[in-house]
Amino acid sequence: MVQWAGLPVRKISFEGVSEERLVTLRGHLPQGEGQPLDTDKVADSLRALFATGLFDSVEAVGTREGDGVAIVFRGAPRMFIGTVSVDGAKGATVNTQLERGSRLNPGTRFTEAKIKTALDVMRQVLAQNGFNEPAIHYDATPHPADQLTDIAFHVNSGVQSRVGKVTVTGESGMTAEEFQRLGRLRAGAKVNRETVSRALAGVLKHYRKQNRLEAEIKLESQKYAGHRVDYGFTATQGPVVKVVVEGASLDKGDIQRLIPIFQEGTVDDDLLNEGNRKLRDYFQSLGYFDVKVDHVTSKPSAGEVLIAYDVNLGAREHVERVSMDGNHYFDSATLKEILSVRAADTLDRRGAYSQALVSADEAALEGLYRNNGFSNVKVTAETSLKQNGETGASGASAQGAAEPLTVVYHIVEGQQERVGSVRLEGNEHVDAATLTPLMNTEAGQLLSPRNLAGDRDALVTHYMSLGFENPLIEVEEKQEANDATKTDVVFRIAEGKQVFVRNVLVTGLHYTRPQTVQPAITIRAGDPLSQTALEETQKNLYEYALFNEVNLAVQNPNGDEAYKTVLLQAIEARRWTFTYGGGFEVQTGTPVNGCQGLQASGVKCTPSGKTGISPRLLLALTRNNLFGREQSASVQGTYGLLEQKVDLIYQNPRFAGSRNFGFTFTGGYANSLDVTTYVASRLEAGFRLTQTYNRPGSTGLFRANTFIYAFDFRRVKVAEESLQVFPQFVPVLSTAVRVGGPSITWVRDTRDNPVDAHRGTYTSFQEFLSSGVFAAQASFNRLDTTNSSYYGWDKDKWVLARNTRYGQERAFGSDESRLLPLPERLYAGGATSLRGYSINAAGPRDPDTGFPIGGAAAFVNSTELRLPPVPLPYFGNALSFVVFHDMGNVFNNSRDVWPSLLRFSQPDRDACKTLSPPQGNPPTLPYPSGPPYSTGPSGACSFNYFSQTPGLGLRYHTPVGPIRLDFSYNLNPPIFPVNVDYSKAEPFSDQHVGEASHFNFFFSLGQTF
Amino acid sequence: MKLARTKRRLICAGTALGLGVCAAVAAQAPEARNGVVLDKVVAVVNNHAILESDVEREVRLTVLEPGGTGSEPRRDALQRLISRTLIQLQIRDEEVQAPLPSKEEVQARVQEFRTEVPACVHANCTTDDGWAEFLRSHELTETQVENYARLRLQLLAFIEQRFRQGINISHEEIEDYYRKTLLPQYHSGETPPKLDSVRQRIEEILLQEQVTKLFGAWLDTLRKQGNVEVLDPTLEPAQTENAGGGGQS
Repeated sequence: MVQWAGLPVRKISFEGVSEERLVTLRGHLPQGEGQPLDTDKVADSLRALFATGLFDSVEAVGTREGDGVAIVFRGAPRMFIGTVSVDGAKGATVNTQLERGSRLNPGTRFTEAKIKTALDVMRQVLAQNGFNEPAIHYDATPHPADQLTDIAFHVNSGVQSRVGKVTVTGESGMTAEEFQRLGRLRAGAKVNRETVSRALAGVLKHYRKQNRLEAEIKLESQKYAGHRVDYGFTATQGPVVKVVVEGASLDKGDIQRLIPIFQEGTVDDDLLNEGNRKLRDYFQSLGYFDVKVDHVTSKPSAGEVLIAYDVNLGAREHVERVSMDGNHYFDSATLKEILSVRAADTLDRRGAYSQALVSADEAALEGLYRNNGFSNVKVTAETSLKQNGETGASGASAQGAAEPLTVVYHIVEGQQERVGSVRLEGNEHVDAATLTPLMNTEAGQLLSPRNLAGDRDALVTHYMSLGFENPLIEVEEKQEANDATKTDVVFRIAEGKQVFVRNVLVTGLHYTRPQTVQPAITIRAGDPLSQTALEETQKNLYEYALFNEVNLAVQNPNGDEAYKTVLLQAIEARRWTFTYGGGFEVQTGTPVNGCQGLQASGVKCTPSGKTGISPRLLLALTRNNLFGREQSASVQGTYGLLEQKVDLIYQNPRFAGSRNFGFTFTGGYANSLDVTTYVASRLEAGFRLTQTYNRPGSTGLFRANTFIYAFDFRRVKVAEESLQVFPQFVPVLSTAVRVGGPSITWVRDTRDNPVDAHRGTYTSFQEFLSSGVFAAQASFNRLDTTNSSYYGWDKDKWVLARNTRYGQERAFGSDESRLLPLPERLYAGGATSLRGYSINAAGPRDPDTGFPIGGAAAFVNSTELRLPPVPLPYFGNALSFVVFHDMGNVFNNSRDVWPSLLRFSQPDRDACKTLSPPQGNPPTLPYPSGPPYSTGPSGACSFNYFSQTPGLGLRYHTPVGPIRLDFSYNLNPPIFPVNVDYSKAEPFSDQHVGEASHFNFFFSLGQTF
Repeated sequence: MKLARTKRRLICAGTALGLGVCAAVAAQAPEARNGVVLDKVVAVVNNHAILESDVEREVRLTVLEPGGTGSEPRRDALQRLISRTLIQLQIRDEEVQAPLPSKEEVQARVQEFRTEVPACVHANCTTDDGWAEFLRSHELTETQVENYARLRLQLLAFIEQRFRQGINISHEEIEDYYRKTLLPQYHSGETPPKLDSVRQRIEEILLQEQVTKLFGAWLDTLRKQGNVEVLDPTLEPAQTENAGGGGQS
């Protein structure tokens, strides 16, 4: 090399790694073409090439070319891990355990040493699962063009080992047999991942029950031979640890809760001292503010340790006053809001005080001041404990006597500082005009450490979104020389290196078409390698619901390449899924199943139904990833007492590739018995186009909107034999009717949690038109709207929730089509509606049978006060109560709604008491009186009033939402004439005036609204 | 150490002829299938490349060390480079703010080389001509020596902060090294430096030895993690040099 130093370099080329990957280095290497050969520059060029991470080794080879030298940078290309898969291992999750355990991270360097380590770890994992003689082999498939190697491990787990001999050494205090029993180490049982940990936990639990908190158990050895594993344990039971609290009364449960040695299962000084603090805080919370706690450990006898906590309660006091002085910038009322120490009041006779709370208050006050420019603030708490303590010590105050405690926070605010100037330094690739709007700190503002930290984070995040791998930002604060109230702020930015995406390699798409996922991949070749974009892509792909896992990795993460390859590895979900579930509701007013309408006999069919359980079974078979697209087809069935239905559903959640539009086609058959009056069947088909509408950045009406444009066509029929109505109505009401037409629904949902909301609103508006124009036999227009709002306070422990529903229908067209089919009418009543009535039982009733027949208008208003959880043994904080009031009703006409608003009792109740005796032979009932509404003649009994229903509910909160039990009391249930009861052998034998029940209860899942 | 240095002089003598021979040997050894290997990566430390030229330079710079070269100069040089690289990377990763040596400190250290290093004393380095001839004969440049001195000072500063805690070099140990190791390297008639003038440098050497012991375990861990690779088989340490040696991971 020395010989050739100074000769001109005529040509530079690369071997081993494709020129395309090194294109950014060409012309930028320290040793350039045309320049004299320089040993240092060649060395620096080698370093630059190696730093790309693309070579395992590299050398510079020179050859004479004419009067100069040609240099070839030649090396062995580095291979990186592509996909890693494991198959063949026995056990549901063992393949995944092995894959994770191998620690072969995609994108990182592939080496044989890593494979060897991975194999060792995998064997260990298999041994933990009871497979001690596995056979593992792997296929490494290189992809030289991408410098990637896919690794596929194939596992033959072999025979699962069984528990062999178990030996126990040490002062265990038990025989090996007892140890085996307690550790559930039955000889011959299959070894699995939990075998050892379960044994250790089981025996330890036994020791803890005996209060042997210092017990130690260890697995010393496990020897495998002949498909059996012999275990050797050492166990030392240790002494019985007895804890007593002297000087105060404390039950065993409280002792175990407060002294952490019981939770930790071990005894050491730190835990015992922690017990001191916890006992002190506990007694301080009871008003013993001057309590002193100490502990002494002794060994009264062999095998026993006594830990005696000595509690000197002192006088029981209350916090009389919490105040502060020295505060000028904030008034005391503002500061008190953030304090945890609290003076006693009517509801809290002692107030809140402990040393821990005082320390927290000091920190909170200082934090508040610092974030408002007082960087030198000092807060010191002063309490009157000392004097009281002395009084208590003298015996003047007997235990239980209330002695006041005062807490004063002395605040020395110091100088308030404002931001003098804000400067950015080092932002070479991003101009200040882009960065400044991201920051909160401005000149003239109060100097706030929180703002500065937030701004630094915002800048770092922005830089990372631009592909800067490791931006470093330091914030320098410097007080102005001529004005101590002003501090200049400089954000010093070390941008680091910007990295871009070379390409995105997608793997794992066996059934999914690449073009299906292409719109979700928002990171593209040439883009900055942004962590944000990577996460967004991952999130987008998960939204497709086509994949079980989506992993994103960067190839050659430690390399110095300017352009890097992104590895997008997807694991597709099963294409066929079968789901099932069940549930039930318990309530009053469950429609009676088996009631045979006109032919009913022996079945007690009442207009109010009966108290009962309505179970439900759900089954669904779904084919996902239909045609390699994000589309699915499913058959869903529901079987319950109230409804049996089967639906065929086709879903395309991204209609025409847009994430804002979805398309659904549904067809099915349903048989429902959710109104006591009849059994309805429905054969239907329809499609709907769903549009989500959110204007980015909007906080008002333009967010959280969904529009549904649908066209439904259905044939509804009421089973003639099931109808509980005036006999002459039966033929017309039981005729099958085609209903069809378009509908539009608008939903705006801003709730924080749809299952159990604390804040936000939910509004829906639905308009449906059924008309002969669309080949329907029933012509009507239906409008149904709801609005709910939620107001949480006190950290959302309390929630005031309200819901209002208004719906109206109007039939039109010829006479035949003017009568609203029974299943198409509006109903109210039940667990999620008007809780003063049983399910769908509110409003008009048949003038002769008294069974509910729905209406053409509905109004329901519910108001709930959801109370904070009540801590209870076993339930913890899972139980809470709800106080509610429901009001409203269902009406024959929409014009009846508003005049009924202030009508608190059923109008003209006498008319409802008028019974119609049968006439003629055979006996028949006279045709009902009253005007012909869309719902038919309604008789003389009016239901035009608002029922008022207060109630009490219980909520048991679970991860999937609350389980609900509501008790309601309808203050003004309606009465109605019952002229005929078809369930009796003599239908007219029991004419009477019926009355809906005052009391109802409902048990179901989820909040009411 | 003195013996080792003499051997090296025999192999690559500081004459014009010797230099030519030396260069020719260096050029012939890495002959590749289609040309001459000008330089290559011989080891990797946490993705940081150590080149053949680094090793050669380190071998040459060894002449500035009081201890001189060992029996395996290239292997030893590589091990020192590995250790030094690991320290440098540690400085970077821990974002340690070790003070950078000033120009004056660097010059002072270079002056020490010229006046204290036995080989240099023999070559009359105190004079500019002697120093220039010394550098030329060892294929070194003033800049390389300054960079070497700067790096050493920087690493020592880091060692002070990171590794020195808990290590104390006693006066007795320094005197012992002076008597038993340094003095025997001077021929009769040559004037060895006084103990006080080399006290600090001997302390550095002994400190380095102590640190190396602690460092060995750390290095061993890193190597097991595959962070140190020696690509050139001729530079792999002998199996017995476990703690300080590199190896294929």
